Order: sequence, then structure tokens, then C-alpha cells
Amino acid sequence: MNATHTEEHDNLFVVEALGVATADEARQLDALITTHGDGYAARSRELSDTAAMLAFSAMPVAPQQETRARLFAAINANQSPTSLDEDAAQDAVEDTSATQAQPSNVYQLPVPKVTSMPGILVMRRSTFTMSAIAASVLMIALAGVAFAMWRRADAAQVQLAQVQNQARINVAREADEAKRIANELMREREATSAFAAPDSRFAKLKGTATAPAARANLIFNPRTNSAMLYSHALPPAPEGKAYQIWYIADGKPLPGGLFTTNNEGDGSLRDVAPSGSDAASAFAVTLEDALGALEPQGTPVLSGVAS
Amino acid sequence: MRCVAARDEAAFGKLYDRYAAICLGFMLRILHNRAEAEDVLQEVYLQIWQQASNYDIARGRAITWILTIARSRALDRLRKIDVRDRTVTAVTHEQSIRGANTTAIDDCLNLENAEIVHAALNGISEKQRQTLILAYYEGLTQTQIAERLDEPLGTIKTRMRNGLLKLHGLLAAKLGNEINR
Repeated sequence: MNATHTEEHDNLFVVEALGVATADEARQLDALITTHGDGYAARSRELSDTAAMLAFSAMPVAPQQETRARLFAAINANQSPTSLDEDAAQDAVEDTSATQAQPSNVYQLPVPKVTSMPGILVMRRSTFTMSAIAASVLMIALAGVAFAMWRRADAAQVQLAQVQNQARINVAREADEAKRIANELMREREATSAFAAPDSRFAKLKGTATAPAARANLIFNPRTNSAMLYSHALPPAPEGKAYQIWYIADGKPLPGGLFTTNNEGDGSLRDVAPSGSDAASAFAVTLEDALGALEPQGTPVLSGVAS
Repeated sequence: MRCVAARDEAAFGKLYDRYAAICLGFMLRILHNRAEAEDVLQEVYLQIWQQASNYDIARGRAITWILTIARSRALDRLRKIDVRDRTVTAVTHEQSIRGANTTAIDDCLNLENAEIVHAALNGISEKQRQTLILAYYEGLTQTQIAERLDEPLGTIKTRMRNGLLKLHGLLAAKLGNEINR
């Protein structure tokens, strides 16, 4: 730097560097640099760089993502500048008025191509406004779609739950039916087996005066102590009551199993015959307490002897 | 900057990522309003994009050029804002340097520079510091500062000059050629 510079020159460097040079001070500095050459220009740069470092005394703040996105959208849209709109034109007028009424304390940088800037800003604002409107419309539309989808999803969920519930019911029914068929087959097999067994006894039980239309078939195998009974037209057992079979051996009734009937009076029983029943030659069915009885309490509704 | 002047968007993106946080923090300190500061930030970078070809490295560092634009635009915006509408917005940590757009290296550089500047500012007197801050952050002329502080203009001139020259010396010692070419 030129060694002849004075404190007043330094003051011009400083106000210029800090961006608070008045127009007069800026002109003086330009004249000094022109006069004194590169040394003064370098000094001016150094102090400007120093002043710029004051910006680092502020806490850095990361901009929002949207700012970056808007910036790049603007520079991409900036390839074909548009004319001033009314708002921007008004801004420009206000700017000019403000500048004239109250001169800026900030030294204005030379801004080449400045005439294109309002167009850029207008376009940016216009683009931003249009983008904001489009974004709003899009948001509303998306909200509507989301709501409709939510409603549909909700309905679908209810429907799915109903279907799943129905499926569970159907599966349970199928399982029950399969179990019933399996039991039926097993009974058929046992009946066939019992019927085919050479030592099985058969008895046709007839309804008594209490249930004259009732009848039953009994297969009894004393070797295996197993018995099967199939009844028809028995009156439905009242609440808390059940039918009980009795094995009558040597005139003494031995208590057998309990069974009930459906609405048609059909019932069946697979029973393990009581001890001593191998001598049984007659059978009876009575209406007893649902828990059963050790001795007949009710009147016989079916009775018969082994063939 | 040459790449930015050649309309290289990737280079422009790097320039943005490197200095946007420091610019925004700086302008936020001037404007005290986050939305305004973000808006001005966008204007600043648009201007950089538009005028990058006019940047002359012989006339100063790129960061100086960028911060000069940022300061000028922020102060212009400040004058347009109705003072009643200005609210002091506390800068929270969540708004601080850690952002999706800044890299860890940029953060470190910014923080490192900030630490150096803070240390240098502590090396000058409180009154010198106050004068520099009033000029740089509020755009007050020496005359306006003298009026505000109710001090003679000559005192302010001396304080400002000595403060910046000392700060220059302190920063030059830390940053070397970066600041003192």
C-alpha cells in the first residue's frame, strides 16, 4: 500500500468496507484508488474482506428445504424473463420513492444487468404465487382423495372383518359337520361291528302307555360291555330331565347311561354297560333327573327284552 | 464462481450449501424475522446466479461479494418492513447450523470461522465492537452512530477505524492469506 495514505484515507477504506460510505465518501475513495493505484485497491479489498467476516459473528442458520427448492425452481424458470406485473411495478415505484425520500446508508454495489432483475423477481413472485395456488388446490384435492380413500379403506376394513367373521363361522360349521359325520361314521362302524358280533344281543323297545308311539332298537354286547340304543318318537325330555337306560338282570335294574332326543324324538346312546349287566335280558328307559339315578325314579317310557 | 457464471447448477448448489447458512444467520440478525430472511436469501442467491459472470476475483473474495449482496439486500428489506411487524424471533437450536442442505464440512468451516471472528472481536474494545456492529448490522453511518451513542463524530471515526484495523490484524494472524492477500 502507498505509504502516504493518511488516517482520513483509512477512514474512507473503513466506511467503504463496512458498507456505510456516503455517496461523497464513495466518490472520494474511487478517486483515491484511481490516483494511488493498486496499493489502495488492495487495502480496500483487505478491509472489505475483514468487514465481511463480521457476518460470521452471527449464528449460522440452516435454511429450510423449501427455500432451496424455490430458488432452483426460480432459476430454472428464469430462462425466459417475463415483464413486470403491477405489483412489482408498484414495488419498484415505492423503492424509487423511498430512495429519493430517504437516501440509503448502504453503498449500492454496481449492478450490471439490473434492468433484468425486476423481471426476475416478478417472475419469481408470480411463479411462487402460482405455485402456492397450485399447491393449495393440490393439497385440497389430495385431502379429498385421502378422505375418500380413508372412507373406502374403512368400509373395506369393515367388509373384510365381516368376511373374516363369516369365514370363521363357516369353518366352524364345516368342522362341526365334519365332526358330526365322523361320529356318525364311527357309530355306523361300531353298530356294524356290534351287529356283526356273534355274541351281540338285540332288543326292540316299545313305548309304554306314557309314550305309546315311541320305540327304540338296542344292540348289547355283554362280552365288551358295550351297548348302542337308537330311539324314535320319544317326547322331548323336559328341562332338567334326561332319559336313562336300565339293564335288568335277574329282575334287578342296573343303571345305564343318559341321553336326550331332538325335536322329532330321535336320540342315540353309546353306553358302557354297568357291571353285572352281562346277564341282562330285558331293558327299559325312564325319564329321570338330568344327573341320573341309581334306581329308577320315573315311569318307564320304553321297555323290551333281548331276542 | 466461474462454474456458477457458466450456469453450472451443481456448482451453484454447492455454493448455496456452503454459504446459505451463514448468509441466513447473518440476515436473520439484521431482520429478526425468519420468513423475511429466507425470502431475502432467495433473492440474494438469485442475484448471485444472475450476476456471477460479473464477479471479479481480483476485486475480492467470493464470500465477501456474497455477503455484501446479502447485507445490502437485508438492509434494504429492513427499511421496507414496518417496524411494528417486526418481531424478534429467537433463533433456536433446531434452526441452527445443522440443516439438510449443509454438509458437515461446511458446518465446521462456518463454525470455525465464527469462532475465529468471535475471538478476534473479543480482541478489540467493547466500544469499537459496538461501533462496527452498528455500522455493519444496522447500516448506520458514522454520523448516525455518533447521534445514537451521543458521542462526537471524530470519536466514532477513530473508534471505527481503529476497531476495524485491529480486527483486520487479528483475523490476518488467524486466517493468514485468506484475509490478508
